[in-house]
Amino acid sequence: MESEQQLIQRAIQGDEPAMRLLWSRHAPHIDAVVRRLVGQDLDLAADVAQEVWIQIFRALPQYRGDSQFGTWAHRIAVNRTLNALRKTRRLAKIETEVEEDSASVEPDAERSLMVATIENAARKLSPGARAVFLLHDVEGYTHEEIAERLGITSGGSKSQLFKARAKLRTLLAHLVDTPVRKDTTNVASVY
Amino acid sequence: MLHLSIDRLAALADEQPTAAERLHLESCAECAQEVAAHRSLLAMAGAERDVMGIPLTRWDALSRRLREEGLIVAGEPLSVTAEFATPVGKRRPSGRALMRFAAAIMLVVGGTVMGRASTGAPILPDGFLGTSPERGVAVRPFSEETIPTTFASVQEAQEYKELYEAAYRNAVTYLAAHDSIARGTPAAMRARLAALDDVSRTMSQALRDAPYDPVINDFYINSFGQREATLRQLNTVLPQGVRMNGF
Repeated sequence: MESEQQLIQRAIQGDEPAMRLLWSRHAPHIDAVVRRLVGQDLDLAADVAQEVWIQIFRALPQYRGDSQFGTWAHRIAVNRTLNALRKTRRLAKIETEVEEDSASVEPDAERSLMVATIENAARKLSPGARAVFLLHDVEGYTHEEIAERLGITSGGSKSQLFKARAKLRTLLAHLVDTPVRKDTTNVASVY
Repeated sequence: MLHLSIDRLAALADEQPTAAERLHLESCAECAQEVAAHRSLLAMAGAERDVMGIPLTRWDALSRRLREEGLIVAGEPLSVTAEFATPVGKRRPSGRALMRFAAAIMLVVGGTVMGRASTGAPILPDGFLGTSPERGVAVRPFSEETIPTTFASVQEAQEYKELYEAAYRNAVTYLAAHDSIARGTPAAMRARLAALDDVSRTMSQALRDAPYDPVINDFYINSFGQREATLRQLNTVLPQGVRMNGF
């Protein structure tokens, strides 16, 4: 079986079967990360995913093999998707607070019907908080990496993440199987 | 001692508690439960990374762009459906390709039949066989005469398959808005959504194993369409002001 490095060399030379093989091996993961970051606009996600792959093949001669090809391609996917979201102004209010409204999840009796997956629940976050949550908790980026990509501070990234987690914990209470704390009268840090 | 703050509880999903926090967590079941919930949420988020979805890219569209940019330098374009492609008149489609095609049709037709049966509606819609009980005349293109039973090529079969799948999806969307019989009660629709979610989970697993298999993808897309249609139906019967965007 041909190694990935050999495939990459052939792809750099413009060999279509090699490029297609690279695409078919990695497209499921690349498509998935693009779809998660873009959200429910599948048309936009499809456009972005195509641009991501164009960029991957454009940048292929610069791939040095320091990391796995999949990891390298994943980074390109994240960067290109965030750029695309910036262009559509979906990340314009990156520093805004996580929205407190949850208009689509009342009443409580219906709540468990609303969001059955992390992906669905994450759609209820503000774009900035959603991006931070997906990059950190799903994609495994550090706060420093997120800060660099989103143009915020690592402290801002942490703050957004914790607020996002708190909201998701409420939205997905039926899945994490612990009651939401109602008593907030004496909530404070132990410090 | 005071409870830990909401932000701190969220942070403890992947951070170590301080000594003071650890002491508090040992004595406060409520905060300990919250931290456990956040850790559970974090584990779910990590597992999300392996979840695949509907493919967003197609090689035919992508390769066209790559050719335009000069990144693909030579050779004839590869067909996305190369596995199915057979030179017309030279040899018959492979048994595997035919089985996949047949399976796709069975899934679409089977889904329709099961959906109608589950709602108490007649299994075959009026006019499906070319006549309307009320009017007794041929009314639409879905008649025995117009549905082909043989095909000149695999490509033609694919074209028919895509045409009928598109018609099927459009019909599902239309029925979601107009078919009061199939709409059913909110409880029935929720049960259907739950069942469709089971199907989706199974199909997601299948997509991990065969992310670009056409049959798996067809079925996934159809079940996804049914799910969205049911969601729209449910929204029409929920109390005013209550709207579901997800399930």
